[in-house]
Amino acid sequence: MSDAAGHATSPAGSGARSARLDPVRIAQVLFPFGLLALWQVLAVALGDFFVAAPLASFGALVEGVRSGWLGENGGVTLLALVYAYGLAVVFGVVIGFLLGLSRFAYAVFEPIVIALYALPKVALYPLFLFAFGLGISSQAWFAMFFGVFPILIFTMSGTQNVGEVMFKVGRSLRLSRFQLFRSVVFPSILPSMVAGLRIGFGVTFLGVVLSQMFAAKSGLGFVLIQSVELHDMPQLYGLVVLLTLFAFVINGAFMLWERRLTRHRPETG
Amino acid sequence: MSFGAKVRLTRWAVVLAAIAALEVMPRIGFGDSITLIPLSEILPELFEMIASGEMTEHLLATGGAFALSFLLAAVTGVPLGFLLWRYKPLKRTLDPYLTTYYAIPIFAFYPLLLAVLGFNIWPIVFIAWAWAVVAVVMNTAIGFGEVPQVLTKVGKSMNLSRWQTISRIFFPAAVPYIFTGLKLGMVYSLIGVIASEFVLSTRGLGYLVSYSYVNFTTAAMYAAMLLILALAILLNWALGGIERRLYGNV
Repeated sequence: MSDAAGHATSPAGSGARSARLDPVRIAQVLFPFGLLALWQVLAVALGDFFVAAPLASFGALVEGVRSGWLGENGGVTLLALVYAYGLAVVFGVVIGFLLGLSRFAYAVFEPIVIALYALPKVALYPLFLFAFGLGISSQAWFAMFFGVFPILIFTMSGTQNVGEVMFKVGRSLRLSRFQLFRSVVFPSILPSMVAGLRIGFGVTFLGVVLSQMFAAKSGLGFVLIQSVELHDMPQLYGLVVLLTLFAFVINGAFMLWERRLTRHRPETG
Repeated sequence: MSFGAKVRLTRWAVVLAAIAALEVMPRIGFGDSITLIPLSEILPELFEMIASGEMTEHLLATGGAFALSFLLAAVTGVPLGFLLWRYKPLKRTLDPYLTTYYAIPIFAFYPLLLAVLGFNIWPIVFIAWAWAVVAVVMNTAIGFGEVPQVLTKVGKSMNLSRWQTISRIFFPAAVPYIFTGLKLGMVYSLIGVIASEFVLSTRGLGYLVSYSYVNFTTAAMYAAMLLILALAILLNWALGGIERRLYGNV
């Protein structure tokens, strides 16, 4: 896949030993504070009709916890996300693995799957509403339809790249079919699969938020649209930052997992 | 039959079977007849909407926002990518944030932009630009970074000035990567425009889908969906063709 934006690996590991003195590290830590300062400056410069101040936005979230709307709608979003991601992982991994096993199936389906990944699938959301009705199941299936593709693509290419040699080694060691999968095939698919799981999570999350912005009665996407109609700027800014931070933290956890997987792995040509 | 021919034949069979399913499934009563319409009835509807001029306004709105956001992404993304490559500490500082960028649900910013900029073309252009530009930036930076040492050595041995080295050696060598970035940027800005229009807007193809859904004009909704998918497939196909030419001699 040519999606360099998606699977570029972080180079930070190499400089880790001199971390304490590395000015790049310091700049990396300061960067979010810079954004926060910029936000504050914009709030003062443009006024709270356009930009809610950081403190006011944080206050809106605290108020949301106290009065319950944040917990309630956040719960709906999380539930849809869990369903959607669960479905995306199961379908993506299973179909990706099966298609990756055969060189022929891989060659036939790889361009089709990548073409589907690049389509503006949002416009198909009404089909999910027709099929599953208004509510959480249409949102979950729609977000799954978003997130399944990266998982499928990465699992498929990971499986395809396992290579005949691995199977031959396994056979010469007289491994059983299960042992072969457990100790040879699966570990060599895993790094690429985890990259797919990471990107797939981001896309699934986007799908959930998007679907809740359209014809929904609850969920954080719904609250976002509602805040526009009410022009509730602190709530709007607070929610956008909350969603961004959530995505950032989960993605970071996936990246740590990826780095651990690749660290134990000697580089092979 | 060669492996490649067999692959192509099977691929076409799969695509045609999928299209046939879109035609047959509604006819045999899969789903009820109001919500699912066979392809052969969507196509005439689409042609009529185009011929009657009903589609023109939406096509122009989507096309305009798409062209504008992509141009902005190209004009800002390539220089930013170049800057990132030139100033390594800057690149190293921003790298973890850039790699996380596409994990962020950027469309959550769309309502915010609507509230700030109003219900016009600019929130759409801004979101589509934001969705596209980072792909352009990253691929440009990668492209300049991947220029083989042999080429820079040739440049040195020919006593090229700094500017000549960049314009005659680095830039041409990075073009395939920049093209990949632009290709992704184009696809992303189309997705960005359609998605924003769909969620909340007053015209455009994405808007036409959601408007028709809300008003139960199902045939028009499918026609708009079909047009969106057809345009996106056409775009991907054309970009793929250009890319194959560009990489053809590698």
